This record gives sequence, C-alpha cells and structure tokens, in this order.
Amino acid sequence: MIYIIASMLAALILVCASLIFILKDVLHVALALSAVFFVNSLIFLVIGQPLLALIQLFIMVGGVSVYLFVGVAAAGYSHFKYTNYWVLAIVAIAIFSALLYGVYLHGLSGPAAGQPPSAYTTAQVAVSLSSKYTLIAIYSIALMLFLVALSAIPLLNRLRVM
Amino acid sequence: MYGFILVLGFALLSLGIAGLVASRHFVVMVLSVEIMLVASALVAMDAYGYFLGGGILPLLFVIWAIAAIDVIALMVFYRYLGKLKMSMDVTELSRLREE
Repeated sequence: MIYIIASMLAALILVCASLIFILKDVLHVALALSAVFFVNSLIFLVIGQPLLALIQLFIMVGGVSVYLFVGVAAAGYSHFKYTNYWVLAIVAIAIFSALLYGVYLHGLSGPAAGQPPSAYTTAQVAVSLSSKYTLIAIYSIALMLFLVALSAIPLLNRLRVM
Repeated sequence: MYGFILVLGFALLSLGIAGLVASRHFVVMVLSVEIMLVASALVAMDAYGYFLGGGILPLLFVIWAIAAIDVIALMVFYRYLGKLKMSMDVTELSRLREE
C-alpha cells in the first residue's frame, strides 16, 4: 500500500516539476513549485520521516513559497515560450540514465543494499546539534538567511525598485 | 522503498539540470535550481542516512537555507528586471550593459 501511495506521489511530483517548464504564467510556475514542495513533504511523511516532512512544510511551503507568491504576484508578467521541450527531454533522460547506470549497474553499492534509516526524531535533532560547533553553524545559517532577506530591502531601494 | 526514493531524487535532479539547460527564462532557470535542491534533500536523506545516522539533519538545514536564499535573491533580481521593463529572456539580458 505504501509503495502505491509513494509511486503516485512520485508521479505527481514529477508532473508538478514538469509543469514549471510548460506553464507560461510566472505565477502558475510558482504555484507548480509550491506543489513540488508540498508533495515532497508528503513523500517524507509516507516513507516514515514525519519530522522532515514538518520541517519541509514549514520552511519551504510556509516560508519560501509564500515569499515567492508575494514577489511574483506583485509583478507578474512575461508570458513566452521559454523551454525547448526536446532539449529538456533528451538532457533529462541522458542524465537520469547516467545516474542510474552509475549507482545500480556499474557495481556501486547503493543505499538500497543496506538497512533503511529509522525515522528522524526531535531527540536525534538534539543529538545532531549536541556539538556547539554544529549549533554555531546552524545559528550562522539562520543569521545569514535573515541578513540576506534584510539586505534585499536596501538593495531594492538602491536599484529604485521599491 | 529507500532505493525508490533515490531513483526519484535522480529523476528530479535530472529534470532540474535539463530545465536549466533547456530554458531561457530567468525565473524558470532559478526555479530549476530549486528542483535540484529538493532532489538533493531526498538523495541526501536516502544515501547519507545509512552512514551518519542522525548527522544528516544539519546538512538538510543547510540545503533548505540555500533554497530559501535562492528564492530571496531571485525575487530581488526579478523585481529589478521588472522595474527596468526588461524581458525575462536570458538571451536578451546582455542589453543590461547598455544601461
């Protein structure tokens, strides 16, 4: 049953990702990307990683996608055919085949041969962050993210966009 | 199941790289990178979970942070190009040098 649901979600996420290159309205493209994030969190949930699913949902769907919507909806324009579908299909199939060949057919032992990891829990988050250096790194990431967002405002003002 | 997720990650990664190559829309090219970051989270969770236990979580935070910064930078340039009435076609962005 889990395989069926996971397969359906995998098909859905690939369709949503493909829509990014098919749709012409930028707002619709942003919606398709949000759908990718949302389905990705559902996949995390189905494979038994509820913590990752929640974090994915909060960060990517709740934060990044909303920001993307606001930005795109405020200046939605540019409708033109931008993707060469033949190049897209050929390059995608070539890279996918090469990756599969490298992992499964060329003798490299992929993770499928081992035991599946158990679900990450908040306790494991605490273990992961037990080192003060890791904690500093995480805080630095959050600070960098905040500073990038904050510095975007004077940059936009300087560019006379806002 | 986890091999299946690895294949899905490969498929998304391929689609992202192909989108970057095949598109000439500025926004779509950056969103292709977002797809690659989604794929990298899936592949990282699948592959490194076997070797590092719970140690993969900081890497996932890094990946998500990069994805968020990517979108913020995209919005800045998107609004800038929009203000200049520039086309989102990257083949026409060379006109920026005339400004």
